[in-house]
Formats: sequence, structure tokens, C-alpha cells
Amino acid sequence: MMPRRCGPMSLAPTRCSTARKRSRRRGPTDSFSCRASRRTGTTARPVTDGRSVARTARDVGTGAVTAADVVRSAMAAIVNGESGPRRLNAFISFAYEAAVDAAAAIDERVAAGAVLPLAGVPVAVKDNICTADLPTTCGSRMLARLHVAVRRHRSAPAAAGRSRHRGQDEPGRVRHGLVHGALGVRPTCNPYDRSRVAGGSSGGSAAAVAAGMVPAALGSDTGGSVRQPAAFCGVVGIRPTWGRVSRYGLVAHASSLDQVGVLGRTVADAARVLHVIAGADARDMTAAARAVPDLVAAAEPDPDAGAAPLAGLVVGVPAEYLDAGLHPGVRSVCDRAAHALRALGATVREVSLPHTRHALPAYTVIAAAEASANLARFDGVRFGARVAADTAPDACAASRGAGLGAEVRRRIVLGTFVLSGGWHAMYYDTARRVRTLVARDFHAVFAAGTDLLLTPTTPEPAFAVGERTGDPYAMYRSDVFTVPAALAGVPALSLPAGTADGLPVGVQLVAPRWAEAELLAAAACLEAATAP
Amino acid sequence: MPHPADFLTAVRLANLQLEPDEVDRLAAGIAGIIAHVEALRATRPGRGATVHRCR
Repeated sequence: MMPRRCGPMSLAPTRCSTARKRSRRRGPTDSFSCRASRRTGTTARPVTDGRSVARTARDVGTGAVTAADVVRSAMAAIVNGESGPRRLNAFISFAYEAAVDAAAAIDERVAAGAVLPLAGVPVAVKDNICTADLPTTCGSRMLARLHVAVRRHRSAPAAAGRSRHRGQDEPGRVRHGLVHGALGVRPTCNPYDRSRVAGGSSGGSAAAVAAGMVPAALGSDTGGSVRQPAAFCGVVGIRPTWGRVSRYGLVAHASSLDQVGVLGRTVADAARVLHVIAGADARDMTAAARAVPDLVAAAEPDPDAGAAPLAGLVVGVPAEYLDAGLHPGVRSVCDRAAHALRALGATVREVSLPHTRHALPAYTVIAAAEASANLARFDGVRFGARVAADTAPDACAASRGAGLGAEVRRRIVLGTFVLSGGWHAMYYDTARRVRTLVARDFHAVFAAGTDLLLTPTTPEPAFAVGERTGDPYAMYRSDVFTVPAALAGVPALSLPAGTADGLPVGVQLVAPRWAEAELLAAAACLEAATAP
Repeated sequence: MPHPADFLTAVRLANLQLEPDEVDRLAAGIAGIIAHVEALRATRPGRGATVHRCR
């Protein structure tokens, strides 16, 4: 059941003196938020008590609070944040009654002695991951009535709601299209500045976490769809190794790239959720049957590490990522992050990933080609809304033309083009070979002794809503630093590390395949060192 | 660079019913993307295999 929207948002006025004392990791309530508020006339005060994943699970597990109380609090925060003319538009649907029922079941299990790692933790789920209680629409008219069930992560948390894509239809970049749904037709706003984009396509998940509506959210990352909105919204976003997390229930976009990721306010929060969802799955043959290390412990500070917890770690900074096109404020944040890593005992050195400049064109071709194949199933026959016509082929074409959004249509046609006879070898085959070269760059750097890479997550902070609708490739460029890791299938994490032009800036850490524990450990140290 | 007619063929193959003006906009947008992708062709990446001539 959809909760009714209440009246205008009743957010308390932001108090700068108090906010400055708070940790930035709790959401946009710090001094930066106050600056943004003065500049834009906006407030981004969280509407929840800011409990972390760990604290919520601990409090529910010990009986200090009930899961039902947590769910009620989260739903009140969501409804509050999604009401009024300045709502974020982070959510597209809720499952209030189902969440309350799940919370009651969790309270019963806890009372019976069960130990649940995410007991009572409200988790927002991106609208392209199927669940038992909510419609899965990908923000598209085409799928407005699709209803499929999965239950992977449901054993631990109490589900809270369904976060939105940044725009209509399947994952990809920041988009500006409209979304069907009960909450209106505005795009998801950046909690730090309502005139800016939240990023995409997991922008709803990132905005919900940044605004304090939920402590963590699930997203999906094809070329940067978790890390880019995480950077724009000032939260942590991790894309695990391709194969680390099951994709059963994830609506396929580009299958060789798609991966489920996690967004959280802190590295520790993201690690706790990732640890629950990682591992083999009989329903997904691409989910690797590898042991999952203790990611929760990896993200905890080591009390015996002393002042140099990263001693012996070699961090590479790819020269190709720091070219002239980088926003000076973003470069400054990256420089400070490198300095902080040195102060933590790590060795920071310049490395080279020579094929980086070809990664984005190769990704554009491969992702479009795979999307054109995956989205062929949405034809109004088995999947998707059907438009009546005289013949079956006409009905199929009319259904797809009417149901799929403009950006998706563009990608489908582009993908069909690069796969068509005569152009296949010229574009698609070339892109696949370039992808191999990009992956070899990463493997060569890691094989030469570099443990992690440090890069900017995005070339610039969040840009204005509608700024790049006329030039799709300019919009794609915001993923230029996240796409290479996706092509190589290696894990990467975006961490808020500073601000530029009054907006959050993220730095990206990239690790070798299956090295999520090392990635989270280094990120947790850097997070502690760069926190205000 | 591909001819705009090639994009029209892709629209037909993609099984999408579109208004004529949208087809034009779509073709223009894709042409812009392809212009950036053209750089890929200059990379001339190898096929990853060594071929030996033998008797």
C-alpha cells in the first residue's frame, strides 16, 4: 500500500553551528550543507536520526529498539522527504505494510535468539532489482505492470522502499526524462542542491542515503551507475568484482558489465550490506563460487595499526586520469586524498593505464550492443505494455516505440547499428578488442606491485538538471573515470573526500579482482583521515 | 562515417515504430556518438592470437 503523502515538508531549519560539529558521513548536514543552503536557498537536512547500519542492527538485535519502530521511523522520514514542492523524488514506490510485516517477523526471530546481520535495517532497492513486494518498472512505462519475485537479501533486512532511477528506463547515465509513478514527474534532485542532478542511474538510491532516509541502498552499476551518483551525492558507493554478487532478479541491461552494488553513508555501512549479498547463487551461473572474506571486519579500524595503518600499501595514481579536462576542484580533492594516503603510511606513485582514453567509446559500443539484445524482450508480448495494431509485428513495433524512453530508443538503435552487417567488425569487434587492452592495463599495473589505484570518480561535481540533454555523449563523459574498471571487471569504490564549488566530490579506489576486503580496508582508513 | 540511411536501417531492425521527425533526431544523436567512437578504429587492436604459417 502506498502511504499517503503528507503536507509540505516540515524540515527544521538548518543550524550551521550545530551542523559543523557533525560528521559529514552522516549526510548533508555539515557546514558544507549550510553553505549550499545559503547559496541556493535549499536545505538538505536529514529526516532520520542518522543511525548507521551497524547501530541499527545492533540495537534491534539487542532489543533496544524494535524493527517495527525502525521501519516506522524510516517510512516517516521517506514520506517527509518526498512531500511538498521541494521533495527529492528519490522513491517511486513503497511497501509499507509488507515492511511492517517483515519487521514484525524480524522482531519475533530476534526474540527467539536469531542473530541477523542486518536486523531491522531499512534498505532502499533500485527500481531495476526485482523484489517480492514491489512492482519493478525500471522507471519505464513499458514495465509499469511487471511483477517478479526474488528474495536474495531479504533474509536479513526489513525492506523500506523502491528507489528511483534518475530517469526513465534502463540503467546508464544521468538522464533527464520523466518517470511515471505516484510521486510526480520531476527528476531526482541532488540533496545538496535541488537544481543539480543526483547522478545516475542509481541516483534515487544515492539521494535517499545522502538525505538520511535510509542508511543503505542497493543499486546497479553497468559503467558507473553506483559510483557516479555516490560521488555526486556525497555517499559511499561500491561496485564489487563482476561475479561477486548474484544478479538474479536484476533486469539485464548490458550483461557483461552489469553488477549489483551498494550505497551507504559510510564504508562500514556499505561493507555490512555487501557482505550479506555477496557469494554464489544457484540461480545465477555468473555468481562466482568463491569464498567471501569477512568484509565487515575489513572495514573496521585496526586498533593495533598505529599511526600508519596502510604501511606497505602501494597506491597508483594513473596519469591518464589527471588530464587537462579535470575540474580543478576535483583535482585538488584527489591531491589531498593522495596526501592523506601517504600520511597513513601508503606509498603513492604515478602509474599508466595507456588505453584509458579509448575506454569510453568502447564502453558506449559494447553497452549499447548488449542493451539492444537484452531489451529486445520488451515487445509487448511476453514483457511490457502492449499497444494494439492490425498485425503482430506492427503491435510489437508500436509497443516498443510507445513504451521505451528516448534514451533507451537511442541506445537500442545504436546497438542494433553497431551489430548490423558491415558495421559489426568496424565497431563492435574493435570495441571488444579495446576492452581487452583496457583490462590488460589494469592487470599489468596490479601485477607490477600496485595494490590499489586512486582516481577521481567523476571529472566534475554534479551538473545542473537539463544541462546536457542535447548532447548525449557529453552526458556519457561523466562516466569517463568509472567505465574502465567496469570494462575490466575489477572492484571499485567511490568515497566522498571533499567539496568543489560547494558540492561533494568523490575519489575512486580500484582494486584487483576479488580484493574487496583490501579495497574496503583502505577506503575505511582514507575515510577516517579525510573526515572533517 | 556511416550514411544516415544506415541508421534508418537500424531503426527498422530494432523493431521500433517512431515518428519521422524522431527518426531524424535519433539518427543525428547517434551520428554524434559514432563520431566519438570513430577514434576506436585508429587503435587497430590486435586479435590476441599469433598466426604461424606452416606447411
